[in-house]
Amino acid sequence: MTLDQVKAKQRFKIKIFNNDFEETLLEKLHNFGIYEEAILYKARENTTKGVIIFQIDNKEIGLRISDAQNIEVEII
Amino acid sequence: MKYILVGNPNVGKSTLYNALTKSSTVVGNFPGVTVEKKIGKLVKSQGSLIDLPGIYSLAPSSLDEGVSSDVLLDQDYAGIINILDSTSLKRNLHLTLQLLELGKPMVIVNNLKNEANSLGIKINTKKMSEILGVDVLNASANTLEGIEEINESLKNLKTPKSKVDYGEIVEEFIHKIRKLIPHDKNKRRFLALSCLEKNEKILDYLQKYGKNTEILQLVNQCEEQVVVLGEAKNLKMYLFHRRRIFIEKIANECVTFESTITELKDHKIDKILTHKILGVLTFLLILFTIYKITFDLIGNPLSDYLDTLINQTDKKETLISNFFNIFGIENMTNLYSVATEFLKTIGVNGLAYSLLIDGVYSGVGSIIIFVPQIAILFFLLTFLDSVGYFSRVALLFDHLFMKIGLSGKSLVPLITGVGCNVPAVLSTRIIESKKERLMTILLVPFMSCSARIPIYLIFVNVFFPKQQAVMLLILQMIGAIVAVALAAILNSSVFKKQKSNLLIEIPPYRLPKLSYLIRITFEKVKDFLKGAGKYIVIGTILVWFLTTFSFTGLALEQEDSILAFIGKSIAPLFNPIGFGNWQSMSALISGFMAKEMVVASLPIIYGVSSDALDQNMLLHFTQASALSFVVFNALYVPCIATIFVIKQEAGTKWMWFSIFLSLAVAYVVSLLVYLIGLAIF
Repeated sequence: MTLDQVKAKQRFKIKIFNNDFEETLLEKLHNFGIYEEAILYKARENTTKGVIIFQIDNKEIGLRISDAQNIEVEII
Repeated sequence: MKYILVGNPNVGKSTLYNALTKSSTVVGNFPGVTVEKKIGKLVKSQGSLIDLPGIYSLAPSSLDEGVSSDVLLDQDYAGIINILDSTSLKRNLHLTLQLLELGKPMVIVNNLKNEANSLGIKINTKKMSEILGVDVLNASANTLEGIEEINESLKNLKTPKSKVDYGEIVEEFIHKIRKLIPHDKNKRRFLALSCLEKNEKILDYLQKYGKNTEILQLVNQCEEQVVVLGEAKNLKMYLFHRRRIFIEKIANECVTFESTITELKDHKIDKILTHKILGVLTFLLILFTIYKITFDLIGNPLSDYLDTLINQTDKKETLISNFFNIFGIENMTNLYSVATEFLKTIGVNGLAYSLLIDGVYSGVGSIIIFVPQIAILFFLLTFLDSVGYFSRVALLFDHLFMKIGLSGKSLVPLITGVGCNVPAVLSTRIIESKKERLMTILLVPFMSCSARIPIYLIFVNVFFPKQQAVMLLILQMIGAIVAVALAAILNSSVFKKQKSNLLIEIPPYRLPKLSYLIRITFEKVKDFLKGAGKYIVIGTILVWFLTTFSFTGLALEQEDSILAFIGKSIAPLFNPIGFGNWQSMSALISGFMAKEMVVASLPIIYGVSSDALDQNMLLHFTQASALSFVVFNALYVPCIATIFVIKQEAGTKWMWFSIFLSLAVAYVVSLLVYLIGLAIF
């Protein structure tokens, strides 16, 4: 499944970034600690249009749903 | 002795800087508040402290990160204070490891200790210090906890050695690259590693050795060998991966969690503030409340009171008259009468008297009375910024901004532009995408800065006295509406086919202290007056000169003056938009220097005192032409300072583009407003 499909209160692991994922955005995600095998958490349902909000290391991060669709994840 | 403060964005860097230097750096709850380096004197240690923009890595991906790499690379400094966020240590340690590789004396400060404690996070600083080879301290800069220990540590900073195991292959290539850069002795390991990461900034820096071709060959060879290992798909990812392993080791040995995942407390508030409908309604309500408080409820009465103290009024009893009555002096009702009487007493008259009273006093006085409104606006915007609201607003409007080729991140510079366009243009450095950044720079001048407020206030007060708050809100919004329309046009023409994205950290809500808000507001007003003051004094003298003299000598009538001549030459161009007279043209010309000058120059141009200005304006403008004039002022070039900053940030070509764009847009929109006004009024 992809990151945009994760539901609230679910923990998940990043499996892979799809090939067409933008390189500069990938670097930014790495800076935020979001890389393959990183464990994340979605604390709440989406409220804002077009943006998914998830949690890593007690920080909330907002990412466009169109980009989240390019990240394969696994619910744990 | 100089020390450098480095850390990720939004970890409390500016708060720590203020605590160590007792300075008043603006502290924001939005990543990227520090867009330029700031230097302050250390209070309890010798030397100064440089506060750098927040960065995630020493390989810059945005311009504010570039500022930090430049300083760390080029400047001579005694040591580094690396500030980390205790609540997300793993993420922050990536930068720490890069800094350790620089080989400079360093101390690590785990800030936000209180927040970490409340999340059940405990950090063993002693163990962390043993692993990293430098002092590691826990602190809470906002409560000044740990500040003494940081000062103590600065007296004896330890020099670290790189601890990360990059593997034999990489170490071999580090060694080879180091040989090619014989100078830069202390930081060769860092430079070699940066080359392996293909850090363009560092490769530019190393061009002085003329070995970049050999270096890049080595980098490629290294990458080929590393990829074969199968740990990562490229060299950059491999190095990142090796650091990550080391960071996991630190986290395992030094950090204990009572719970791994914690529900953040802000969700209930965010359910409303970031909701697609409720969030937008709340935003509009907040905006309206700001304008109601600023211009109606508190700002106006304060400005009116200041007006009675500064300018000529009919009021007989004021604070000033009461003061002079104590000494038995009558007819001193305001500062205007004090200034004129004083000049007459010391024998100043004629042209000098006219220059000081009709020029400088009238001009400066007409701006000072608007300081209360500007101060209240700054106070409220600083509050929203410190609380963490702007990040939510960026999220909220991203889907709309995306449609016009921007991201929610552009919203912060645009909101900053409501205060002043100059820092707003500078704050676009937080935007990584070149296209989004350039577009935002071009849009900022359309945001209605505080310098334009006096123009709105004076015209709305005279021509629309019963609809003040609504009219002022419309005038403030017109720039934003035009900016959105322009962005859509630019996105589908000049910047077509360039992608944008959004990845943003949402900081926790933090309630700022009242004392902090007052201090920052005071600093901002001071900066506003200092910045505007020089333009106003020079500008009023210039306008006075141009209105007092003709090409042949003293101008007997204002209409014969040099300014009137210039104004008359261009006035016909403005006939279609309702204010094709030399007085309006002269005010617009003055406004090129600074927007405050438009109001400051009006009494001089009309040759009247400030209190008679209202009546005079009624003679020269109709409601439709007044509205058209104000709209033109809202949209045309903000000031020389903004133009200069645009040139610095985007280059000469885009500066000229910005000037012509704003003039053309101002003309077209004013024409529409004038025609609609003629139909309505």
